[in-house]
Amino acid sequence: MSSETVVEFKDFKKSFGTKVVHRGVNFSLRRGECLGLLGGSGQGKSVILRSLIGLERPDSGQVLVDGDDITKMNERQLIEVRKKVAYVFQNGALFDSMTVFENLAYPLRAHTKLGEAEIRKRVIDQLAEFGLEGNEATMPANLSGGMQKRVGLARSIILQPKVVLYDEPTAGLDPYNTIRIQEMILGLKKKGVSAIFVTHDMPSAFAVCDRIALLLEGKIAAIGTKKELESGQESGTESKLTRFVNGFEI
Amino acid sequence: MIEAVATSFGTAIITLTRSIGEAGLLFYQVIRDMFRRPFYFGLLSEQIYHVGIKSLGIVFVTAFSIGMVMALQFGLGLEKFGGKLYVPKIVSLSIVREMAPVFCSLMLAARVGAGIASELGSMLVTQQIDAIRALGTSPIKRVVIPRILACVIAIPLLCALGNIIGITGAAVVGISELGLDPKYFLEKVLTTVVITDFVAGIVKTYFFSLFISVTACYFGLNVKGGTQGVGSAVRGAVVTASIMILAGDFFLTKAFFIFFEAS
Repeated sequence: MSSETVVEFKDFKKSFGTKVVHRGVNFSLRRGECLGLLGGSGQGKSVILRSLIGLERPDSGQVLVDGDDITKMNERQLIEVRKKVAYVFQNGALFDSMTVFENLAYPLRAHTKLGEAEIRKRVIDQLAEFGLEGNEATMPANLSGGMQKRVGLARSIILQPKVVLYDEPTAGLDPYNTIRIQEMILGLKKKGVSAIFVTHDMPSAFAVCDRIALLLEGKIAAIGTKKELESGQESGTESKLTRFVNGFEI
Repeated sequence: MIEAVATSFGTAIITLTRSIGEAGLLFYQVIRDMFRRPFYFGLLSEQIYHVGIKSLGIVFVTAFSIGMVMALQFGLGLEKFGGKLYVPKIVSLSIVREMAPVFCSLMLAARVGAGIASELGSMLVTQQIDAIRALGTSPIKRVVIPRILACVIAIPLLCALGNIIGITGAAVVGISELGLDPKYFLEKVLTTVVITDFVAGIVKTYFFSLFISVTACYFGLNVKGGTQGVGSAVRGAVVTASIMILAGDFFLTKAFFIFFEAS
């Protein structure tokens, strides 16, 4: 694993009961890069993300984060990994018994020794950065879908992680909110945050990703940059990514 | 036909064995993590409020009704044999040793157990449990332990209160319907019920509170199939806890008799 690589999957295999989902997934994420992960429904894209923070365990293979194999870590050891790798859930996964403020303060209270005044300042600044100022006392149920996703994103990155995992962050959003989420992801990329972006939203993938990988039949079938993709020269036996993106059967 | 029956029987046995093992593992994690930092006293007091204070109404109605019905039934039955005067003794002993702990626990299994299972199930379905883990915290410490501890603290206290309310209900009927003297009723209760009877009833409720809370947490954290699964989990939690209370009551009663006779 080179110093430029922040995350690496090595021969990752995972089954659920008799259903084999991953048959040996291999790919790496470079420092500061945003990698799009595409694939049909049920191909196990979210399982890849969940495995990266130990929410799922592979049957075999390695998941390396900064060179450490997290598949052998216990829940206590995984806490350090989860502080530097943030997960943005598809629907925000906000704690519905807490206000927006409490949701954002949650990771700060759990992992920092900041006083209440400093926590309040950090949360309010973070909300302002995401265009959510004035919603501190709102309960998640009273937010729109787009706002919930933005609060979820704001909560995930409040500890300033090195890697962010986006699980379909633009799914079901109107164009305005989709663009806002894209801008937020690009803003984080500028700060040097690496990311894996699982999506079916091709315009968003093209807007934010440096490389795009296609998960097909339990393996990475093709991986390439946007340029390679457009010229049909991405690595892989055929131009599978190009065919997938253009809606052809592969 | 025989093969199908054998297969389904075998599957049921495997599922039951796995569930017992998983629930046991959950309980082990609770015991292991309970004494590790961080401690969430705020969450514990919040749960004590939900389990304890908010259950006062149902405990009052249950215990008062049991006391009234038992006094009436025994009073009318024993009156034929001139045994009406034994009502305070029989009813108070029954309430303290059996009726209040078991019936209050059954009602709390429905109210508290269903609440915990549905809340945890909903949190699982909406990925809030995953979010707790993803944010580097433990659902066992933040969600499970406060609920189990709250039940262990609040349910025995509620049942102790149920004893007093039940005997009060019996006294109301004994005085108004059976014509017993209030002073006589109180005197008989105080001379009949000794500390051993009270302890025998209350100690059982510690076990019942574990049956309710651990079962509810286990079912809630193992919801499968989305929101429909939450309904099944709630049903499973309440039915399993109720069966455990009723079956466990026999063995606990037997154990207490052996223990107190031996000592």
